[in-house]
Amino acid sequence: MTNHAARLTVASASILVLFLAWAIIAAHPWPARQSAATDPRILALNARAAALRSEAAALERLLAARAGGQAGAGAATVAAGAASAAPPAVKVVTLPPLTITRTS
Amino acid sequence: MEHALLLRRGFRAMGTDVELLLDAEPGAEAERAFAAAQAAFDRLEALLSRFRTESELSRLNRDGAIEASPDTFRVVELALEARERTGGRFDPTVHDAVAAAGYDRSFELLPPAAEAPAPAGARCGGRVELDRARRRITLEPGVRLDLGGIGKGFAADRAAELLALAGPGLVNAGGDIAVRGGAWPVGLETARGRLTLELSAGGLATSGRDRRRWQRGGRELHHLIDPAAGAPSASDLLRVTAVAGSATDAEVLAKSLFLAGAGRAAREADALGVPAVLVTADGRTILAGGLA
Repeated sequence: MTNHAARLTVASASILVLFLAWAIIAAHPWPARQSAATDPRILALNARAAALRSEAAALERLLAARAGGQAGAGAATVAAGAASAAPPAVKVVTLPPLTITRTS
Repeated sequence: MEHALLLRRGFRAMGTDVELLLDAEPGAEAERAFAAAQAAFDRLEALLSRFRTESELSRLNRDGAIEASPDTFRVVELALEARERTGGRFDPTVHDAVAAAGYDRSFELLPPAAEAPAPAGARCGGRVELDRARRRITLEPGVRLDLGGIGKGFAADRAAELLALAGPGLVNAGGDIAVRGGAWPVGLETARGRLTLELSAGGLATSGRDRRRWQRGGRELHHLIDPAAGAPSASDLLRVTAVAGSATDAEVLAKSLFLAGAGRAAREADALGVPAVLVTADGRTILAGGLA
């Protein structure tokens, strides 16, 4: 009788430990946080979203300029629209180039 | 930025050499990204080439109106916005002027010199109507479009977005460069040497009259048409490199600054904050728009 109860207790405890281990592994909490921050697809989507926000802001400025009757105010003023989306950070460096831009 | 795992691919498209750089582990994901980027170039060339009789652009130029694919419609829309924003310096309606100047076939097939007399100017600036609901493009009779430069910038931007799915990437389409992620040293020719710019996003493009040029009747001609004259520009610049939020915008800005001429281009680049490198025909290099 005592042996039977002990076996039952040990078996129940083993099943419980097994279930808890499975639940912890299935939850997989640690790499999920890391992959969200480094997944190149997420980074690319974030970059695209930033580019779209920038284009939308440029479009808003262009529409505001048109509404203000500035669209025909001369080449320099209208050319400002071409550069209205802020250019990305760029700097002169002394590194060897990875590629070359030539006249297209 | 370390480039220990830098992967490269090259191919011909849109009449130029295209180079793809990807900072990623070699493998199936990188190969898929390369294949998708090359497919984007092939697809856009099939739509936008003025030298392919079956392209959407050729059909538009032949028939005067088409219901276009989303990409063709978008490129025409961008080109018309650029025409407005640059006060007409950038203009897609230069097709007849560039053809009249002798650039009437793929550049590889163009005879470098011919006895034909130098051409007279052709009319530019005609009306182009867009019906966004039906994606219908209608040209004023006699107007034809050339989307060569802006189409290449657009393709570089689309290909860079596809590359970025596998990691930081750069696309160089014969001088039109698009970057997504990372930091990329890009070399360019100055009047007396070479300069390297580090670009971390957006695009960079170079326009000039030092490569696509030919002779007709003893006169040197090139492909950068001044829409006001309907003929190759007489700018005192040899080439211009401009940096912008995308390769498409950089292409527009480089061409617009080239047509402005050295003095005005430097003032405009400074005023607008457009990083630019101007190389003059008399051998000077001018850094403008915050570059130093």
